[in-house]
Amino acid sequence: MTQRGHGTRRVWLPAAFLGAFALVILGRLVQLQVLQHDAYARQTREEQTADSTFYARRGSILDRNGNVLAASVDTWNVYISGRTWRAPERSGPASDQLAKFLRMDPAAIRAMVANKNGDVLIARDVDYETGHAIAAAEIPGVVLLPDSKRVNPEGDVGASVLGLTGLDNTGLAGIELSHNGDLLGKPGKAVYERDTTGDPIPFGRSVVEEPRPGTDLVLTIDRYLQQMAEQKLDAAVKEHRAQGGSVIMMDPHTGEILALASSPGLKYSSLDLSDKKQVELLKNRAVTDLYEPGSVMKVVTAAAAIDQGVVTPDTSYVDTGEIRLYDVTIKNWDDRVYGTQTMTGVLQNSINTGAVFMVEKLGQPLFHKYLDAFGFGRTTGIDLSGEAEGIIRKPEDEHLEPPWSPVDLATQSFGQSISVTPIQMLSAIAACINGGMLMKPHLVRATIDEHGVRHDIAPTAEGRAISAETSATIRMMLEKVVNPGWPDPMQPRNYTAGGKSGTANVPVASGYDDRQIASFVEFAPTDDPKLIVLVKLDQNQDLLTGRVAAAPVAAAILDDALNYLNVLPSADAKQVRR
Amino acid sequence: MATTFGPGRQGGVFRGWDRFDYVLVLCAVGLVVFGLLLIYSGTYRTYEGPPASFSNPVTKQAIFAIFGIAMMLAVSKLDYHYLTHYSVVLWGISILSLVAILLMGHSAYGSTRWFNLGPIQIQPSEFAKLATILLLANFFSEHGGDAKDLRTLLMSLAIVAPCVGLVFIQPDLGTSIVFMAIWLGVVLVAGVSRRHLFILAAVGLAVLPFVWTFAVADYQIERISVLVDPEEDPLDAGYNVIQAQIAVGSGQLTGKGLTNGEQTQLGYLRVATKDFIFSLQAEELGFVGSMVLFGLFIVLLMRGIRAAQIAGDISGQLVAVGIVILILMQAFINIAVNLSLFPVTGIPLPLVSQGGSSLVSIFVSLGVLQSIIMRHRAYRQT
Repeated sequence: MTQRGHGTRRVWLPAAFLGAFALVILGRLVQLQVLQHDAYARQTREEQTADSTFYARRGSILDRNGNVLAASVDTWNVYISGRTWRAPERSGPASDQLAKFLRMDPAAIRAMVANKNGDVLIARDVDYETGHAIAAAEIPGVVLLPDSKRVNPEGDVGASVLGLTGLDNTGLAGIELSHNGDLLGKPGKAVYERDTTGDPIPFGRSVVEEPRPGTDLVLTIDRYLQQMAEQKLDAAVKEHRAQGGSVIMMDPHTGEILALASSPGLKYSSLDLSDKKQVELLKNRAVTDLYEPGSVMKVVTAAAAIDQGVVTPDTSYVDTGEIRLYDVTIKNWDDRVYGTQTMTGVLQNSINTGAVFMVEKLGQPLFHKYLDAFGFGRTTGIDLSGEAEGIIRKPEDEHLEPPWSPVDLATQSFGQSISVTPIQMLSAIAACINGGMLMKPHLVRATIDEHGVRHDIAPTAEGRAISAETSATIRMMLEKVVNPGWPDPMQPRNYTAGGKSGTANVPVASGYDDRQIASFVEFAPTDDPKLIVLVKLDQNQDLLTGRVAAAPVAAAILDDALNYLNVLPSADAKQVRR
Repeated sequence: MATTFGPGRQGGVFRGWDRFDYVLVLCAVGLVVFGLLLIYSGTYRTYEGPPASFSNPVTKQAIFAIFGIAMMLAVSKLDYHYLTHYSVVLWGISILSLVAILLMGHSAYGSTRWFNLGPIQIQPSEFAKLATILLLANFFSEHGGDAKDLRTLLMSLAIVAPCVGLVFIQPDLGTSIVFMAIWLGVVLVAGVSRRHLFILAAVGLAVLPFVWTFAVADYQIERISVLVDPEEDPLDAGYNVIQAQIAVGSGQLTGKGLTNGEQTQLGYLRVATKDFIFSLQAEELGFVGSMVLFGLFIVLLMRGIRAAQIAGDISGQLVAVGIVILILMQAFINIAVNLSLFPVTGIPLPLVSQGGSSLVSIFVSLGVLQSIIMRHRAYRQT
């Protein structure tokens, strides 16, 4: 007996089932390969390509003579691919090997990588040679990416001007911050194919964009003068038991800052940013801190009055020792009565009533117009960040507390009720003696682009403050302040000079206390000033005036600096002994 | 039992070859060649030995293919009734070897499926599938050729159940599903009553939660859950699912060209020449390649159905249906896995995936199919 096969219909049952299965698969294939392929194609590209940023070499900072003050050196950052190190049999020997190069504990390295899938940064700024040795060792999972580190060959010299960079090579303070954009350059980007361990595939890599190196900066700072300024400032601060101070040297004709020392200031050698007090050092006090300049301001008052023609150097008035304005009595600083005095004498003896005499002849609107022309009440635009504007009490200002009174005008004539920054004060006096132009103080003299081409930065004149004739008159008057006819420590040994002292109390909420700021602004030589220097001592505990404490420092700086700058000694200079 | 393989019908070496299904063989060889190309593409970067070496995956696969074809020819010459006649013995050996493998087998990818015999590994479940088909066919032909009777149906279930169970605890979920599909296909053709099937389905559904809780291994649950949301664990369980999907999708219409698929060549895709060979194919040869591969399997399906239709007797018909389901279910489940339609099960793509046991056993199955085709007319003439 033969069993016949069943009818063919039933055979189609499983066939139909399989056919349905086939249709589902077909649909899915169409979906994945035909309809959605763009998304998946993109996914493979994303998965298999990685990009990394190549930081551009940060521009160097040079002094005015081309000496390097800050430069970047090539270093390596060491990363480990966490996925590669997942297997203990791989991470064990690899970490031992790597630890030797980095002088680290292998267990510590393993702990850093443990349970991480991405790339883990193990060591930053490994020096160039070590990095090459690590690369040559071909340790599995170790990736080296180029980086750079900032070095300062001159040590702490100029640190407060230069500022510093963070770990990401970005400026945090000083020139490094204010010119960060130029110095940074443009980072390059590399896109490369990678395999499942995240390692680049050989020959698969292609740099898409070359990094553009940062611009080099040529500063106006002279490293020798900067060092001198810092040493002289530190010595003076110590001698006069001051809390700190500033020394600024400037070319009065161009506004170039040749030295800018601040104390307390940033020092790379003892920098510790975890200390809150040290974070304060990141600001440069010569541009951020306000003070009442005191008698130095009389120079500005005199310049304004002479420029307007309301007085001449020989205009005389009678000093009675005090002036009563409303309920306030203004006295001279030494409570002396000087009797009949010329305007030159007012500066020589620093007579407050004389300054009030000049400002009253001038009148408030004109005086404030001159203050504005000399750059007070606004930033100078120097290339350091955090610059303060200063405060001038003016009648048009509302919400003044206490309100404006004519007494303010009187006190402003001798440098009170007005706060300025050291850099403002210096550039104002420079305008008084340089022929009358207010120059913008600046720290960068030239830039050198990535092709090595130097672009000089021209000095910027902010505007004319006084006429050239007035300026010549002020120079003559200030020379008589420094050289009253007998040897004085205010005088440089080898050069004719002019200058003015200022001693002002520190304003507090209720008036003034006995803390003082002693300063001196001096320039030399008189007939053609090459250098103007401001010496400012904060809260000197010996309570010596600017004339006694700060002037000799300024004179000594001028002597040494002008000698260094090859300025011929003046024939008629008084050879004084200090 | 109808021992109808009488004298005269076997005479002569050349008898029956005119009815031999050459389309089926060409189709199978086409798939093997397709597979060899893909295996080459997937291994040439990692294999550095001489081309003519047994350790070269391509050579090894080719040798297995030749051996498999020889086995197919030998088996097709053999009357399949011998096989059905002794199917109880074959089935018994299969069960024993499945038990043995649980005790001493070679473990890979988290499950125990192989016997290690020197350079080759034997996967007994491959042969158990064929033995089960033969026994099922024999059983139904002995019991009046149909499954209308509930008792017969349950007894046939008893044939499959030990295989399903033993394979399931290896654990190999995919192969257990193939076993169940084979049983379902065979009983459908054998005329199972719809009512019985619904009852069994209901019982099955009722039992499923218990199976899920007590019998399904954690890794299987993980595989199923990553199918639902591969991004849940993109680096471990979901990894290959995502990578396979990306490979298939990025292949687009015409593919990236053989040996040019980044997913495969850069090592993103794991077991690219075995369970995930379809992804490799789809990436490098694209939708067009997928359609060629798919087409070959559809032709295989049609030729197998034809064999079932023209089979001379009920046992031949059931064996043919079983074999068609055996091959096609594996193929479709494998492709479904590659397309993230099915949990990762570890089922190779028949004839294409790297692996000797599967290849040889599929060729033996095709030999049985040929044996059925070659003998259909003899019975019609009676």
